[in-house]
Order: sequence, then C-alpha cells, then structure tokens
Amino acid sequence: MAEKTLYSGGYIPKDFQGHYEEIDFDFGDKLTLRLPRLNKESSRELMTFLKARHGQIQNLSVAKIIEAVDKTIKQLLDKEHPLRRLAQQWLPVITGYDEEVIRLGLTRYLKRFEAHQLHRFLSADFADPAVLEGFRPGVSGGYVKAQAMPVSCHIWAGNVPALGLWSFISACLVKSSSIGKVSAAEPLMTGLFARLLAENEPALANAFAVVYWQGGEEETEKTIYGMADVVAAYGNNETVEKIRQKVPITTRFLPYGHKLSLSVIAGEALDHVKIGDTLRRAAKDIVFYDQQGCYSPQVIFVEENDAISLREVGSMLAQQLARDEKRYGRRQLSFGEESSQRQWIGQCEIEMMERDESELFVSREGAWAVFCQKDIGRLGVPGTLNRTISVVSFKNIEELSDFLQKMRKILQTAGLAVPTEKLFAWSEFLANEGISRICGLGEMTLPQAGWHHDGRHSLMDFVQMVDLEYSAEQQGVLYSTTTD
Amino acid sequence: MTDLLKDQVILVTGASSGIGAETARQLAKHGAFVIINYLKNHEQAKKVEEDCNQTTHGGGWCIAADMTDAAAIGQMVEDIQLEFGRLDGIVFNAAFSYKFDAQNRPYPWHINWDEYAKAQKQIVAPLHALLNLTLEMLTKKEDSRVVVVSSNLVKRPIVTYHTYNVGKAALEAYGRNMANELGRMGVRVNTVVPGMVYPTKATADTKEETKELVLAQTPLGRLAKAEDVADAVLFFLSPYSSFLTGQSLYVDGGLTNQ
Repeated sequence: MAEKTLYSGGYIPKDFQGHYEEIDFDFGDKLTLRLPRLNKESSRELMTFLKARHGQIQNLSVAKIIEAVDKTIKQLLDKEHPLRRLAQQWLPVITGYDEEVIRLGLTRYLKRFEAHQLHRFLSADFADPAVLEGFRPGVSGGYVKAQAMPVSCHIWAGNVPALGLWSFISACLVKSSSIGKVSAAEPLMTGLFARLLAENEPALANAFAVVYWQGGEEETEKTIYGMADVVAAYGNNETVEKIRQKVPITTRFLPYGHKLSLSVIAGEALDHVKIGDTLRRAAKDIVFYDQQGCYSPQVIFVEENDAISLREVGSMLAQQLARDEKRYGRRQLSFGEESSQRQWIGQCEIEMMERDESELFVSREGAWAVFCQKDIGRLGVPGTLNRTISVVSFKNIEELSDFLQKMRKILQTAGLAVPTEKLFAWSEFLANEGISRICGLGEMTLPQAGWHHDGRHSLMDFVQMVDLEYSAEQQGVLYSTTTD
Repeated sequence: MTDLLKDQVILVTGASSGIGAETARQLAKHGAFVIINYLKNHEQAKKVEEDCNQTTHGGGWCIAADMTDAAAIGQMVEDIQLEFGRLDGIVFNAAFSYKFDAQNRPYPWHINWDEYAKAQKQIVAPLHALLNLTLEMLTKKEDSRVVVVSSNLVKRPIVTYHTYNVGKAALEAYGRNMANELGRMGVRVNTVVPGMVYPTKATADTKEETKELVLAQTPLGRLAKAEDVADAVLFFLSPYSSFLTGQSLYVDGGLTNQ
C-alpha cells in the first residue's frame, strides 16, 4: 500500500517569530494535512504582528496586488504546476467530490480572479478605484478615500472547495491584512494560495495568516475577534450565530449563513429542440458540488406550457441526473445526510399517495431524487441537498409569491431560463421578493466577478470610507503659507 | 460474476491502462486467464495483474512487448507458447501513440503521405504480425476469437484526426477480410468500435468543448467509459456471439446511429 502523505498547509507570515502549535487532519489512510493551530497566546501574538505589519500591504499599489494575485492564479490554472497537481490530487480525497467536478470546478472558479476580472471586482464596488490609493475628489465636493480595515478575520466554511479565496482575495485587493480560519472540511486550498501569493510578492508575505483554531475555544476566539477590525463568518446559521455573539459591537460583522436558491424555467425554454439543453443546464447546477453551495438550487419552478407536462419535465431531468451521475459521481454521504435524504423521500412518498398529480423519481442507489409537485401551495421542504430537488409548476410568476415570502430572509440566487421578453419583468419580481443574484441556468454555482454576495459589497466591507470635507479644504487655503 | 471464459487464455494488447486495462479486469472477472501486454508502464500493468489475480476464477500475467516491433511480438508469442501452450483469444487494443489534440490537429494538405503510411504501419502491421505468429495456437481448437478495437471516427469523423482515422479504417478492413479467411479455420474476428472514451490516457487532456461537441450529438447523452467498451469485448469473446464474425459493434451511445 502507498505510504500516507504528510503535507504542511496553512500559512504563517514569513517573519512571525512567535510560537504556535500544529494540528493534523487525517483524510483516510492517504493524507495527513498539518496546519498551524492557534490558542489564546499565539493568537494574541499573531494578531499583534499582523497589525504591526499592516503598513507593508498598505504601501503596495492595487496594481501591484492585482499583478501578484493574477500571477498566482495563472500558476494554479497551469495543469503542470506542482501546486495545481497537488490540489487536483488531494481535493477529491479531502472533500469527497468527484475528480472531474474538482478539476473543472477549480479551473472555472480560479478564472474569476484573473487580472481583468479583478478590475471588475474593483469597479463593482468603487466608482473610482483610485480611492484605494489616496484621497480623490468626491462627487458632492470634498475628497474621499477608502481606508483598508487593518486586519480582517475570515471564518471559512468547507462546503465548496476553495470558497475562502473569495473573501481572502477581496480583502487583499483593498489592502486589508487577513487572518483566516480554514474549515476542517476543506483546509487545503486557501493556505496553498496564500503560500504561493507570498512567494510571488514578498511585500505580501507578512500580510496574512491561514490557520486553524477549534471553534468554541472561548479565549482564542475572544482574542481574535476582539483584535480584528472586521469579522466575516461563513457557515450554517447556528455556527454564524455563535460567532456573532462573540464579536464586539464595535467590530464590523459580516454574516454569511444558510441560504435558499432556486431556478425558474419559462415554457419557451422547453420546446422539443431546447428542452435537452435546458435540462442539461438545470442538472449542472444541481450536480456541481452536490448543492452544498448557498447558490445551488433546491427547487425548480417550471412555467406550465403546451409542449410538455410537469411530470415529463421531471422524468427527463431525472434521466439527465442519472447520466450526470455516471459522468460526475456524487460524493459519499455521511450517515446524517443519508438519513435526512431517506426522510425527505419518505415525505414525498406520503404526498404522492395523497395527491395523484405529484410524482417522485428516485435513483436506485439514492444518488439523486426529483419530486414533481403540481400544487405550489403544498410545497414543503423543497429538497435535502445532495442532488435532491423539487420541480414545481406555475401558471403565473406571481404564484411564487407566498413561497418566496416565507423564505425571504434566506433567499439568494435565482437561475433563469427565460426569454428576453420576460427577463426583466420576472427579475423585477424576484428582486422584490428578496432574491439578490439572478443568473443564467447552468451558471448558478459560478458567480461572476464582482458578485454582491448576499447583496453586500465584496470589497467595500473590508474598507472604511473616509470623507475629507470641503470645509477642511477651504480652511486649508485660509491657512496656506502661499496664500496672498 | 460468471464462468463464461473459465480456463481460457486471452491476450489483451495495450492493457496497462484505459480500455485495455478495464477489458483485462472484466475478462478475469468472468474467469479468463488474461495475458496483459504493455509497452512501458510496468507498475500500472502489475496493478492490473494484481486485480485480475484477485478475481475468483480468473488470473493475470503481465508481459512487456512493443507491438510495433515484430521481434518483440515474436518473443511474447514464444513466451505464451512456453507458459500456456494455448491461446483462445486476442483483444487487439494496442494504441498507436497519437496526440488527440482537436484544436491543433493538422489540416490534411499539410500532412505528408509518409505520415499516413506510418500510421497504418503502427496500427495494422502489428495485428498482421500477431495473427501470423499465433495462428497455429488459435486454429488448434474450434471457436477461437479475435476482437479488434477500432474507433467510430472511421464511420463518422466528427473530429478529423486524419492519419489516425484512415489507419483505423484500414484496421477494420483488415479485420473483416481476416474474418472471411479464418471463419472456416474456427476463428471468429469481430470489431468493437468505441466512440470517445473518457477518461483514458488518450483523452485526459481533451478539451471540454470537444467533449461537449460529441456529447451534444450522442442520444444516450454521455461519453463512453472504458467499462462500456470492455462489456462489448466480452460479448464477442463469449459463446453468446458464437455465430457472429466480421461484425462491428458500436459502443458510442448512438452517435453513429443511422
């Protein structure tokens, strides 16, 4: 048998001299991933260090940072690069996702951070990105500057590989130093990126740390959240809530908790020619990362039409999921996931017995399940993730309103297959109901650069806007030595 | 599994990876003793051998031989003769080292005829040499079988890999002619014709756009897996195909359906 590989991950700032412990994560009999682990003392030392060295990243130009991030991304896009190979080799072992899903998912995700895309991130949040370099004339008079939060703290989730890169790179772009806690479910990718980025731009080598600490360790968490200027927390609502309670009221808190996303398919996308392609894209959103991302659909709303019945749509979607299962196998479920899937299927079966028009399609091995529900009013829990989905018909888009209102606080992405004639009207409706991202069907798991995650500004959250008002400028003239 | 091929000795060429490796495993599961021919990758061939030896009735033995080298083929056949004294079937799968790069493939007007000739030499000549050398063993008994692995690009060149596709066309013609010639001598010769098989070493770097091109036109909506091809090979080696010779079986999800 091949020997177990030991890889030291995470990232500690290059010149940090303090002591810290390490922790090993074992992934089967194949890989041990060793990460820096913080306790109360080491977290205080590390936070003090990052604060003290913030000047280094602060003095770099955004252009320089973009150049370094772009170089790092290009290395990780290069199939021959040793770290790309390492990621491709180990991410399937760590996360359980299919190798093909990882390979394709990683490439398309990393491409979101190439230089031209990073400029899009900047433009999405700043009318004039030069405010990151210094005071710039403001539209309403005076001057304005985007001052980086010295140290941002990120608590990442591990549901989707490399997810942490989004906030890590966002903070970096606006010159905020970062301390990030990786999830035990995917502790590899952000550390690997940080390491490579620090090599590429030595001026960034003391600007971040990618580490681990045990969630719930009171003293460590109090120290870190108390010293950080902003805390971004990803995870289920319970985890995020626990973190929120420990963050001081004076510290900016960015909660990214549980979400519900959905797809909407118009009748026009279901004619005999288009239906194959439409359902292929619908299935792609379900299959990639087994709906573990907040942006993955849990329910598909299908407009009633003359071409094809809801049951037929459900059956064809099920067939597509079966084909995709052969191409991109679903990951092994935990015991808890399996039992909640069984429970959901059981509920669908009861509903089926009660109502003739509902129908359940389920794979023999439980690798996917499609539940067709004609009556939107009876839609309960739409799915239980891991390739389970409800397909629900509607005659008029307004019929979605009751369901959306019930879910309003957790709504996020809507994937649409809709003709131009309906696109804006339906988008207005969905935006009104609380949807914060609308994209094409098949693209749900790949937000575009500059995405306003849960309706927030990705970059803006890591800076503090500073106004230099007109009055100060005016008085400056008064006191100027060169004034006649 | 079954005992369909129990006690039979079957040579699979190019069996250290991809279709060949999967075929070897599949045949062993059905009781065959598989001779795993490979070119260079000893470690991988050894792994296939191990897998074959772990089956209930089947077994495996790996043996290196460059199929483009007549002397090496001769040595291999001699070794088989010495070790087993019999050969019940051949799966001719050895791949010719062709770079499947759809985006950068050459236009035919840039290809010198020598390259077509070289492709045919690498694709067809090894089968000719192998059949000549093994004929004595194959015709010693009734119902010996030869299965040739071709490509559906011959019938439908959805991607025009010119030298490769023309070489495979010659291979298919060679197989059909041999079927007629050897039928009365107790040897059946059939061809398995896969579409794009993914993942294999040959398609590992195939761009997604090429895969999508094939996929979009495939009625069964997915690409072939090595297992799909191995199943068709098994059929031609099994008694279930005992009255079939000179036939082609397309394993491409219906892409070449006419």
